Amino acid sequence: MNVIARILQETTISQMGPLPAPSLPEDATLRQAVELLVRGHRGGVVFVDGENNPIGILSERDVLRRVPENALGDPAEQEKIPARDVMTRDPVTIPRTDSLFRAVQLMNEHGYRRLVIRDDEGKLAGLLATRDVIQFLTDQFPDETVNLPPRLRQEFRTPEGG
Amino acid sequence: MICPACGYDNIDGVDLCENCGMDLAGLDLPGGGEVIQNPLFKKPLRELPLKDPIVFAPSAKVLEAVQAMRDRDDGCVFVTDKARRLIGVFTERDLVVRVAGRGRNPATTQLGEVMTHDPVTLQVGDPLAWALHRMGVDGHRHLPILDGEKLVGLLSVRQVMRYLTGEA
Repeated sequence: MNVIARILQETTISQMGPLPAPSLPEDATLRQAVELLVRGHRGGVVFVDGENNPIGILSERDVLRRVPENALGDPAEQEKIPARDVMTRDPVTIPRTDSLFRAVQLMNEHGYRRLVIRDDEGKLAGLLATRDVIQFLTDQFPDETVNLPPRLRQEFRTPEGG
Repeated sequence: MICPACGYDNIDGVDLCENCGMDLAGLDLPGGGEVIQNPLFKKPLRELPLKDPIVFAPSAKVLEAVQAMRDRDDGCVFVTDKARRLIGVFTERDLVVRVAGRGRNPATTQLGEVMTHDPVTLQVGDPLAWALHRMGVDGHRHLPILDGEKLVGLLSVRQVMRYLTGEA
């Protein structure tokens, strides 16, 4: 097993810091979901029932795949579509006490980049994206990934100091 | 202190390089704690599984790109000029923000109007660490990989995760 897998096994999701999940009630419209995708900057929106149990997710990829062509660029049409018609029901969830390794296994297995995090009572507790895992790993290897020129390629096109 | 990125000689104790803006905070601290070296991070990107990207001209309609992305199950298309140089990318995020969010008609809007211009690129010989940085810190899910000026592939965050965990 490589050192990365070991780090992922030794870290629980709850140790990752805040992993906000933008959420909406289950009867929200597609328009509300699109607006929250834009504002939320998490690549997905989670839908919850009246007791904050996650019941669905809409990712940016789902918008690409499932929103009808006539509604893609038309906010009025998006208002008419219930989000539940385009969301993924019963999303893959993970308890926040599970390891990052388990999370990555689930992502690889299902082909999703996002997992819904549940607390001890099964309520919505966050959203974990592949990006969060990569960011966590780069934080563990600062000398190798952070000490880079701020504009990688651009810095090397011409010799410096000449 | 000498900036590790550009070599500029800064006054001791500054937080940002005065020449290139590199974050220097902490670099002059002694020790620096445990440093984990990982050869995986030095892998040149050409050794990773790169996808064959979807390529369009900037005059193509958003709807054409959407259909191609659906058919190929890809989250982005690259936009090239007549000389086949990369000039932009259009991603699922751009679709949500600039098309669905702002109510632009995908059947009449051209990719050139809604793409991200001059995208961040990496070279085939660059180390995986640089791609991790772009994906983790800057949040790019898809990186165009070039050989010189030639576009050779697409590196996705999904592929990187699989590679890092030994499943690719």
